[in-house]
Amino acid sequence: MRCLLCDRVVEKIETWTGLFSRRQKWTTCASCMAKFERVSEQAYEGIRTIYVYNEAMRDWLHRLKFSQDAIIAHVFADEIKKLCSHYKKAVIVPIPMHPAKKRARTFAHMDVLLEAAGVRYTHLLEKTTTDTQSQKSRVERENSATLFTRNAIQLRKDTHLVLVDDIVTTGTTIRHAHEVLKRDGFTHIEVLVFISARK
Amino acid sequence: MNDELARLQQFLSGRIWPAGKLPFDESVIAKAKERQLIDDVQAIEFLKGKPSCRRCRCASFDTYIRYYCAKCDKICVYCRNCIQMGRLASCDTLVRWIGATATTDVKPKLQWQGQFTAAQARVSQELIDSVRAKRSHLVHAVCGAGKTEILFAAIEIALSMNWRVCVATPRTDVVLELAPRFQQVFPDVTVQALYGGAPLATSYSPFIVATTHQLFRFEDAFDIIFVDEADAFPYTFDVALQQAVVKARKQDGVTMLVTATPSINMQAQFQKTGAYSFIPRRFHGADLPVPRFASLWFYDKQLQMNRLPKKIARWIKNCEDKGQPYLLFFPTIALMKQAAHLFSVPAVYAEDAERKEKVLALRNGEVAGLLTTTILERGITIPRVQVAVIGAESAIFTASALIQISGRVGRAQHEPTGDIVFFHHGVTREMDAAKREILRLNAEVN
Ligand SMILES: [Zn+2]
Ligand SMILES: [Zn+2]
Ligand SMILES: [Zn+2]
Repeated sequence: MRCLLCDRVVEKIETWTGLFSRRQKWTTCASCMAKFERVSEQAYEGIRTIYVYNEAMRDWLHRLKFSQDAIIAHVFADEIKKLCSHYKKAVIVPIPMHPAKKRARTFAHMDVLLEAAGVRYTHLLEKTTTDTQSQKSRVERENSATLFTRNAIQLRKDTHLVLVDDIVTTGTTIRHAHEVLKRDGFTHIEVLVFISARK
Repeated sequence: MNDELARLQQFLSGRIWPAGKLPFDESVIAKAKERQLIDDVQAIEFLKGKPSCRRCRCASFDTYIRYYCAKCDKICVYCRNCIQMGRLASCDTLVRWIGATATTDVKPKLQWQGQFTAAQARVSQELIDSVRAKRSHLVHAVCGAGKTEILFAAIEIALSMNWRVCVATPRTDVVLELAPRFQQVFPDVTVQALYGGAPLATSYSPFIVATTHQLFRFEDAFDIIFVDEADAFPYTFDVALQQAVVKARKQDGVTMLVTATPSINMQAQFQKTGAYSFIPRRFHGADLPVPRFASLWFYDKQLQMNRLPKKIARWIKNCEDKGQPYLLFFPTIALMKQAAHLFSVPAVYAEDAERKEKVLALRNGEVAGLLTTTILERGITIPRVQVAVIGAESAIFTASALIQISGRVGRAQHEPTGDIVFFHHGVTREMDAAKREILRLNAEVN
């Protein structure tokens, strides 16, 4: 088997559990995994982040989003599966991508990440603009009109929601999404973001 | 044909290019399509149900990834093998030029006054004979055998017959080294160097120097492809390169393969037709430098304890005193990075973004030496360079790797000797085999 990221041949260590469980199809070598760095201290209020945006992470995200190498979503499949299993009975709500952008990129990377991990999710929001947050100045970002609208899917308002996104920089995107859900009456919303842009 | 279409013809002749990524206006492309000068082909074809990438023809099943495509609202397949050139999926198309191909009427004159050794002159003539007979040819040359010059006359004849010529090599560094040399001796033609990140020229060139990967962007394009893998490693004919060559070559095109280690099969096959040449020695007639072994016990522990072993320090000082550039090979990136601060010269490794600049700095004498891993073993010519291998007993230093590393030394005509030392924590069979092979090559009668 070859490493998803560096293509080097990875020796699979046969273990008893390995013999009985379904053969894993995708793998990442230890030296590639070691280049990712975990968040040591949470830098955003009310947002749980997992990894730091270092060089390896920037590379991985670039390959997933811009090189459209969908399969490398599997690098973090186990990790994301474990993370999401902490939220028992919660509904996972990904930050959506604008439909036009999704067609251009041929997939929404956030959805693909969750699917690779085998995590069920429900879209409750719709993106209203194709502008990306990173193209705007800070002031523009803070003042931009609402980025999302609530879609037609109805849930009980006391449902435990977990908003998930790939990366947080200023937190504006998340704040907007959170706002829309709160205004709709949801009372129990948590936020999980995979990558923190702040050290 | 109007000017714009002519420019498209110049660029697209022999190429196979992703639709929508052509460096031309949509209107020009539409006009070409209307006049049936170009056509579209599916980027990923399904041959007997198996996906096959039209660009790289990768045969490995694991290369092809199925995903739910939001553009098509169904399952599509993309190729991972050539993804660094921009992803191709089953819903993408590639554009080919199907009109008359571009030509040039430049009759190139070879501008080269160098002297051949007897062996070089013989091989050069044998190559010319094969070009004239339009048959494939195998040149068996040891590293540093002056193989580039041998190609000159054969290329001149091919170009003068209006053939489209390609020199292909697996490595970008070798393209960067070869292209200017060819341009220098063929000043009347534009030699195009193609490698990842190279600026895209849209004009037609009858003479292209390309990496394996860039060759995938061609189909049915070349009358003759010279494959230079005498410096390739490991010593096997690269499968990807082989596929790329077959695809980029015209149906009736020929391949001239220059290699240091042809397989027995290949040798026998070419010897039968007489299209086989062998150059046992270096072009200056001098012997290949023979490595010497020097014990360096527990070098890794010493380096880890931030101590530079005296033998290494002395070796470096000796190089610097004589003003000779040097290369220090490390068995692992980890050890090299850990020890880098003990040295006054930069370290270079495979994923190094400044790799090109650092090698150039050494060649230009801006730095005294370089620390490196095995990436630098192939295709690099630095005049007067001296080489030391640290931890030559490590598994990564196989006999063939050590032969290639030794081949870096003594490549300049005016200074054909140099020091190649294997610092080791115990002599291995691979080290012995490398030394034996070099002695054997030196003993071969020309
Ligand atoms: Zn890896
Ligand atoms: Zn491909
Ligand atoms: Zn599609």
